[in-house]
Amino acid sequence: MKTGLANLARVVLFTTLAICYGCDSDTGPEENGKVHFPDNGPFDLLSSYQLFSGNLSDLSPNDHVIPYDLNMPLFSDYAEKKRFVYLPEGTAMTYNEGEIFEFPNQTILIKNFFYDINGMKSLIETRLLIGTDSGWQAFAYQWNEEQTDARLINGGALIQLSSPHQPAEQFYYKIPNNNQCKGCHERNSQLVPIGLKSRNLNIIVENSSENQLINWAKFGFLKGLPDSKSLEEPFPDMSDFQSPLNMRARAYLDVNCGHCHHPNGPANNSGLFLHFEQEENSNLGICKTPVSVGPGTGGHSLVIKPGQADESILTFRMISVKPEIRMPELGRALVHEEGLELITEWINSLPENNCN
Amino acid sequence: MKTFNINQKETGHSGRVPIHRILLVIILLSIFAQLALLSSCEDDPTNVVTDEDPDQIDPTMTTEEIQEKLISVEDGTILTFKAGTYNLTSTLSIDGKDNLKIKGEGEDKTILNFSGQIEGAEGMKVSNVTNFLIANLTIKETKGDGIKVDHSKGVSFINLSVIWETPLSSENGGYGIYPVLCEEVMIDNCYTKGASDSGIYVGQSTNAVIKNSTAEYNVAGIEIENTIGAEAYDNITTNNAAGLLVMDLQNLSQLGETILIHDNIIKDNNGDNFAPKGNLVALVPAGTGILVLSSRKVEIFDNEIHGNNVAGLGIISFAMIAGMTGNPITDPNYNPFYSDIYVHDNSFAKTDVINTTAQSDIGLFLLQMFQGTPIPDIITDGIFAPGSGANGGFCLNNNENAGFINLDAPNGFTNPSFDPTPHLCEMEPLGSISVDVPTL
Repeated sequence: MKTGLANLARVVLFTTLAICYGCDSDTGPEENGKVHFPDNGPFDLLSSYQLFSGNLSDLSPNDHVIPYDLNMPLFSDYAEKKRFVYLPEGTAMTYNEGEIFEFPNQTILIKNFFYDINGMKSLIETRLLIGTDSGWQAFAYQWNEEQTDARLINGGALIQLSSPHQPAEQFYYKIPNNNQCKGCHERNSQLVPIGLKSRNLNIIVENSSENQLINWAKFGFLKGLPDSKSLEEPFPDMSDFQSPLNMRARAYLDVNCGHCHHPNGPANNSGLFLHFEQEENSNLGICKTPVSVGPGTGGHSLVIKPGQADESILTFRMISVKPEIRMPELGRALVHEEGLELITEWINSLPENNCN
Repeated sequence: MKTFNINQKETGHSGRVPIHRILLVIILLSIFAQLALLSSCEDDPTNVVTDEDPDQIDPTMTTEEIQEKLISVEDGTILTFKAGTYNLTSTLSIDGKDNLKIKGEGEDKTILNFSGQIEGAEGMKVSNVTNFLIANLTIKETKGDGIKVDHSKGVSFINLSVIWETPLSSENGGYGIYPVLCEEVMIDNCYTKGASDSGIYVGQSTNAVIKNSTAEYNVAGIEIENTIGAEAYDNITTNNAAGLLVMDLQNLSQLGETILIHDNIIKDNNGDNFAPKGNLVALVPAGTGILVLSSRKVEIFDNEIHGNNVAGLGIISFAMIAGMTGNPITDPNYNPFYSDIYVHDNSFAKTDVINTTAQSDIGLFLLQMFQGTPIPDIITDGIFAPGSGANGGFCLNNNENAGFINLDAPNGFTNPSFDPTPHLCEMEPLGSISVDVPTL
């Protein structure tokens, strides 16, 4: 009797699992080696997408998952990042001068955030930007301690970490909630990718003598790439001191601030626009009085006081780590010392002007 | 979509139960689970029925759990924050919802306390919503702004309090209730205290009503900035540095017009101006009743403007501020000249309280100019728009007990005039503003 019941229990349990397995929104794999697109909402586990093969934490891309690099990355509390774009078989991105590339439906942009903790790579989160019929959707997956998989968290998380940068202070790393993704990834109130544009992707990738964009065009991942002479000037590497100061500073501001501080971005209420294409006038902050910044002024009356970084609101907000003062508002709990140094040098290099 | 279950009740068993009974229970539970799975597989395999109302939030939930709920909640939901104190560590954000209503169980019962906030520049951040309502709760001690709503249409704040209890400090958040770049806004029966800029602030919006509300111990009680179509009435602003500001600033998305300010009590606003330097409001004299800065089409009537002892009512151009502070006018689309300002049927009075300790530079300038003698109630800088005619762009009519001074800023304040005669005139009243917003 007991054995009979136990067997029945096993059968029932097995069927339960089988039914659950078929549920699209929970688990994944149908076919090994092939990326699994989430047709019915995001998977709970990162592994279900099959974006990577082998050990998940090795981040070895599967077919049609293309690694990419940027000239000027966004600062994220000194986290290291590995980026990929998944393009469905037979599709390609489209070049878009001065703007974000266009992407085929069912593209997945993948950004992995990790730190080197005691000589060990420790993945914190993986963010996905998924192109669906009804627009882009953003999701964050938090890695488990064993580093075997990452789980979807919609509500965000605060994780106490020790800064890899000296001095090694404790700070709260924020995994954004879904809405906060849109806090930066937004144009005209729609969620959009922000990083993939020509100036930032035009780079000779490490361990390769080839330019990333040309490579992509060659393999059919990118359509409409103009010949290399008519490409926009690439952003420099931040630490490339051969590159003109103005170029480095404007590229830094574009990448770190210009997604929000853009005429069609979520911070457009400020009238401060820091995207690369913004011409050098008061909308760029030069001699501009602040709007609605409360304690964010630091006692200064101009966003950028030419020649005087230490009297400029822009640098004050880069120095602060207080949530109500720091800029960017999201994704920065530590001071980016190198960025601060660059912007300080740039403001000090602007011809002094009492702005009257 | 995934749904999130809260407060699942734990079922515990005690005592000894024969093993076959346990197995039987397992089988029955499994069958039940399968049926549940079969019926819900399409949308959610993890759905478990609880007896909790899914549209209720309670104080035992973590910030992240509440945030998940604010993301997964369906359009059209009435979400109740049950009574209690919520200790929150991050901004609560809402994006893209239609017809969402957030309700507490009373301003004294549902308290969102952000004193332990680690992350986020606001207490609540609401973006890209249509027909949104928040009511019957208190937001306190946010690190930055209390509640900011941007890029939205049809927004109601009703019976909402935003408070910083800590001593008036420039460390307090800038704005209490803060709709910006919105259309159709209602602020009704709200309360704000302690904001380091404005308690209630409506910016770069179109069609807004502020009524039955109280703002006290802020730097500015109520501020209406670069807004087209606003009406503020039946409000009380008291013990702020400045009671009510109507301003148009440069470098913003639009210039404002058509602002009605009436039937308000604007009283004893002589509080400290503790706004951080660099904010425009830091320049406003501690002791201001109403300030109109570079605005057009404003009607101010039937207000009680008493005991605001530096500037009862100022009609000022940003050009004067630019001249006094060195802050330049850099926006080619900006118009620093006020015009069509109609001030009528208000009552003015003064007391002898003068704030000399936490006074703005412009306030100090005025106090010095008058050397201890009372400053007239209505002050203009005399910077009139070219072609504005004899009245300079504003009319004063039937204001009880109102003294007047034109400071003569264009001539370096050398020849001020106490004669209101050029401005004693009438203008066409503005029509009332109606808004299309959700109701309780």
